[in-house]
Amino acid sequence: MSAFSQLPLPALDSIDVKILDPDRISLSGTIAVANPRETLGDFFEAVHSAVVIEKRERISVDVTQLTFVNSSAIRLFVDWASWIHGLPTDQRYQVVFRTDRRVTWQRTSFAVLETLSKNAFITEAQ
Amino acid sequence: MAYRAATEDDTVPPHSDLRSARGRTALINVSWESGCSVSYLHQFVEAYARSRFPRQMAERLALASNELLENALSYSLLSKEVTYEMALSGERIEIIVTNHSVPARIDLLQQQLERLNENPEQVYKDELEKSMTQRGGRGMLGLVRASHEAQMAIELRLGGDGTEVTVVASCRR
Repeated sequence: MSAFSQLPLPALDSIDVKILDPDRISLSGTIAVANPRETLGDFFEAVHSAVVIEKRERISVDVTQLTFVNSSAIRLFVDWASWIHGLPTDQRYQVVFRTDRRVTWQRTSFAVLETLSKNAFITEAQ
Repeated sequence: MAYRAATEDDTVPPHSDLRSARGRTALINVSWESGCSVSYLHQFVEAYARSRFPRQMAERLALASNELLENALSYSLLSKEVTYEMALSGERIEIIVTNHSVPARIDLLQQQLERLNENPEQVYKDELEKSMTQRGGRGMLGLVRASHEAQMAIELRLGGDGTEVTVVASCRR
């Protein structure tokens, strides 16, 4: 059984998380709760652990339908990049974010996140 | 739900404009008590803004509203009320959030705004980088997003009692 099939999905009413296949996750909805770390942060950390356990080189996260995230949630993406950089070089992987350039927060945030992540994040804007 | 929303008929979301005593047209006016859901206001504002403005404008207004209100609730004196208003003022749309805070926090906010108004994009990058390296204290990412991502001009207005602070984010319609 793959580590991905056992991922605990976040219990957050405003978003829908789907694991579409072992390499692809989609997030849709909005994240405006004051402390998303308790739910979404734990999920991101579980995904990170699963990627490392399964020695994957790349994972895809589709956020095109994630229409808004607050600044607390932006920090969760930053955390994710930090976890990747905290790995030994041979265990590092890339997260490919599929974004929609028409969505305000995605257009501005991922441009900077991609730069700061130093190759841990790749953005594929549609 | 710990909030009071003032609209034409006191329902949420509003269906028409409110005429404010201050000479501008208030679209949404909410008095907020501590501990309520910012998430709810976000849905409310976004749905309303989408019904009146183009999609990207609606997203900008919802983003600025969410971030400014989160900041106001995070840094407010618990005994004082927080208010939120979206209003039309001439050719501009304004998001107006008022709270009460301690003077030291207000001073810090003034300093942050001065830095932000010089170069919003650079401050945005700096704030994300600060989060990544976990250096420094609590950041100002919410305020920066209201400026850089929502592309709104941010202005601070201080009340006479030394604790009231109003943040006004505005952009052209």
